[in-house]
Amino acid sequence: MEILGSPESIDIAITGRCNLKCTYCSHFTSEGDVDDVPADDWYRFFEELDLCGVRQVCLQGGEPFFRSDFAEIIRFAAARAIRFSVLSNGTLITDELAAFLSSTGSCNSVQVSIDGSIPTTHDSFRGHGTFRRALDGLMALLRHGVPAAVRVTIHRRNVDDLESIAALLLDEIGLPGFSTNSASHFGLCRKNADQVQLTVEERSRAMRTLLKLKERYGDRISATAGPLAEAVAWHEMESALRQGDRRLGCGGYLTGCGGPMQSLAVRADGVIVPCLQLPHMELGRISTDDLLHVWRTNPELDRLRRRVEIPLRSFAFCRSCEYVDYCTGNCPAAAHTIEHDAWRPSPDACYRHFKESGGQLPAMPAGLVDEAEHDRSEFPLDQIYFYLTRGCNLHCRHCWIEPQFQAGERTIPSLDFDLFVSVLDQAEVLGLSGVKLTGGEPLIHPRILDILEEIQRRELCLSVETNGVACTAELARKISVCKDATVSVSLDAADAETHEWMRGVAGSFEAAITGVKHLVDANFRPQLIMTICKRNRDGIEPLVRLAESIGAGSVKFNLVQPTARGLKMHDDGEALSVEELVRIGRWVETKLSASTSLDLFFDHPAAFRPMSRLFGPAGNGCHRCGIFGILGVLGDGSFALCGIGETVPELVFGHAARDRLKDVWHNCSVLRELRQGLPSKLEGVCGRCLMKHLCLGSCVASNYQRGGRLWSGYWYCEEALARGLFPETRLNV
Amino acid sequence: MSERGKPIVNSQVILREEFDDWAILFDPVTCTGYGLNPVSVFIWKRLDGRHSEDEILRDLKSRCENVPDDADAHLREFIDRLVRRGLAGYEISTT
Repeated sequence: MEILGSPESIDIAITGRCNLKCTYCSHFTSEGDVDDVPADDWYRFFEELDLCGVRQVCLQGGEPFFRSDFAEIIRFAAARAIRFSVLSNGTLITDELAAFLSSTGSCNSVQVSIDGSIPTTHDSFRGHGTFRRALDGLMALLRHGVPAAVRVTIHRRNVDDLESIAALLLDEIGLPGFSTNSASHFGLCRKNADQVQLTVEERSRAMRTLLKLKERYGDRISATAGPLAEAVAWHEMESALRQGDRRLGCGGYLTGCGGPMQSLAVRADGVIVPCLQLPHMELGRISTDDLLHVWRTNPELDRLRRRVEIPLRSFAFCRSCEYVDYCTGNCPAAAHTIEHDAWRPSPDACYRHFKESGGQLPAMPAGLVDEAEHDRSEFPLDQIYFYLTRGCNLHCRHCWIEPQFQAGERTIPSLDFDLFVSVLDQAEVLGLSGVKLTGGEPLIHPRILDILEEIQRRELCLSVETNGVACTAELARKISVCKDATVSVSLDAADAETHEWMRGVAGSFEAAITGVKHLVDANFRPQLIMTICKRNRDGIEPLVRLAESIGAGSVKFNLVQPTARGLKMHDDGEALSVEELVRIGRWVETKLSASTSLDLFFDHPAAFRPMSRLFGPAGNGCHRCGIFGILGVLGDGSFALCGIGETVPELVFGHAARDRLKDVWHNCSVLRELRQGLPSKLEGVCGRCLMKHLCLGSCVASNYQRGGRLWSGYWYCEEALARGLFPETRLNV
Repeated sequence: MSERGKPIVNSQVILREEFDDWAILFDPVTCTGYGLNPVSVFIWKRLDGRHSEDEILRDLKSRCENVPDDADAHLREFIDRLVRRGLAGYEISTT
C-alpha cells in the first residue's frame, strides 16, 4: 500500500450552517453539527496547505455561500494557487457572486443540487421556493462562465421525474452533464428514511429509467453512488460471474473507497477527519496539529487505509455470496452508519441484499451493449503509457508534467505494483500489445525490476523513456530481454554544464552517459532525446556527434512544450521562437541528417516536415499519433489521456482501484469524442491542414490545455500561421 | 501503351511544388492533397494532352538515371491512379 506524501485534496466543511434544512441532509443530528471556526483559522490552514503542496480543496457545508466572509477566504486561497470547487444548494448564488467566482480564475467547479424538473418535486424536501432560486443560481454561474455541475439526489418524490429532469438540464439548459446519487443513510436522511429513501421497488425503477437515459444521453449522465452506479456495477458483476472471471478490479476486499489514500476532510469546527461522512473519526485539529503529521502517522487513519486488506470472505454473510470476488464492500461511512463499524462491508449497496429483498436489476439497454461492442472491435487498446512515478530524480526546467523532485531518501509515491498488474490483466483482453514506461522517472520506481519481469512474462512490447541517471547495468539487461524493447534517454547537450542547466541536478550528465553505456553494453542502440531551447541550440550537432561516438541509434529533437515548467521557459524567453524552430527543423531534416548515419527526428508537426523525409527512401517515415489506441495510467493509479492528467483534471478518466479499465476505454466520453471527432472536428489551422489525417492535431493534450477544447489547433502551427511561416502548400485553400 | 491516348491533368487540380522537389497535388473540390515524389512531378508536368505515355517514358529515360526495366508498368499504374481519383484523364479526340 503506497500513500501520497501529502493529500491530493481536502474536503472542507467551511461552515456547518445552512439557509435550508433539507429532509435528507447528511448533516444535522450527526457529529458534523458543530460551530464554525473563524476565518483566521482557515487562513492559517490554507497557508499550511500551500506549504504542503496541497492544491485542491472542495468547499462544502452546510451551505458554503452562507458564510459572509466566503469571498475573503476564497481570495486568500486563490492567492496561494489553491484551486477550489464548491458544493452548494445554489439558492444564494447571485450574478455578483458568480462574477466573483469567475474572476478568481481558481474555481474548478460549483455543483448545484437540483432535484426536480418542477418546483413540486424539488421543493418537496428542500423547502418552498428553492427550485426557482437554485435554477437562478445555476444560470448565473453559466452566464459568468463558471464551470457548473449539477447533482440530482434521487428520493421517493422525484423518482418518477427523472426523465423530465434530464430533459430540463441537458436539452433545455444545455448542461454538458449531471450526476446522480440517492438519499442515503446520513444525518437527517436516516431519521427521515421512510419519507425519503427509495424502496427496493423504487430503486429498481430508478435504475431502469437511468439506464434508459444513459442510453439516450451517454456519459452526460454519471454517478459514483446511487441507483445508476449500482446498476452499472452490478451488471459488471453479473458479466464477470457469467464469464467465470477470477476477480473483478479490486473486488474481494474492502476496497470500496480510495479516499483515505488521497484526501482528508476538515469539519466546520476545524477538526480533521478522514471524510465528512465519517465526522466522528477525529484525527486532529487545524491550527494545533500538523497536517502532514496527521496524514502520515495517525494510527486511526492508517487503520482505515488498511481496510483494503480485509478480505470480504472474512465476513460470514459475504463468504457464501457468489459475487464475493467482484464486490468491494462499498462505502465505509455507510457501513459505520448502518452497522456501526466502518471496517465491515456496507449492506446499503450490496447486490445480494438487493436481490434477496426483491430487487430487480433491469436489463442493460441494447444501445449501451451495442456501443461497447462497436468500440471494442474498432478501437483496440494497443498500448498503455505508465507514468510510473509521481516524482523524478531530476528537476528539468522544461518538464511538461512537473513531477515532484525526489532526492536522497525522500520518496514520492509511485504506481502501486498490484494496480499495475491489475491494469495489465484487464488490458490484455482489450488488445494490449505493448507498454511504455515513463514518468516522472520510471527507473526509480521501487519495484521496477518486478515491473519489467511482469512485462517480459506477458511478452508485451516495451518502450522506456528515461533520463538515464538510474539506469544500472542490471536494469539495462532486464530491459533488453523484453520483447522489441526500445529505450530513449534524455540528453540535452554534449557538455555537462548545459545539460545540467537544463536538468537541474549536478552530476546528471555523467550519470546519463553511464546509463547510455550500460544500455549499449546490453546490445541496445538507444535513442537520445534533446529538448532544444535558446541555451542549447548551438549544441545540436555536437550532440549528434556524441550520439555517434557512444553507440546511440538515433536522436530526437523535442520542442519545449508550453505546459507546466515548459510554459515558464516560454514566458521567460528561454524557449526558441517558432521562426528559429522552423529554420532549425529544416536544417536538421536536410543538412544534418545527410551528415550522419543516425536517424534524426525533429519533433515538429508533419506539416513542417519535408515530403522527402516523410515518404522518401532516404527519410525516416511518418509518425501517426497513436491516440486512438493509447491510454495513460498515472503514478497515483488514475486513468488519463496521458501524463497531462497530472495537471488537467478533466483529462483524468477514472482510477484503476475503483473503475474497470474496460468501462473507461469503451465508455469514457472524452475518448469517444476523440474517436468520433478526430481529425474532422479539428479547428484553427489544424482544421485547414492537409496533413491532419496523419498528424491528428499533433498533441490533443497540449491543444486542450492551451485552447480549452479538444479540437483547438496546435500552438506551434497557430503561431507559425500567424507569422506567415506555415507552409502554404500544406493548407487546404 | 500508345492506344490509351494522351493523358491530361484535371485543370482544377493544383500542383504545389516544395523545396525538395517533391510536391502536393491539391484537389480543391475535395480539399484533398496527394504527395508526389520528384519523378511523379516530372510525369505530372507532361500530362498536357500532347504527350503520349510512350513519349513520357522516353523523356523520363533520357533525363533520369537508373530507370528500372519495368518503368512502363509503374508509369501506367501511376496514371491509372490519377485517373481513378479524377486528377487526370485522357484527351477526347473530336474527329
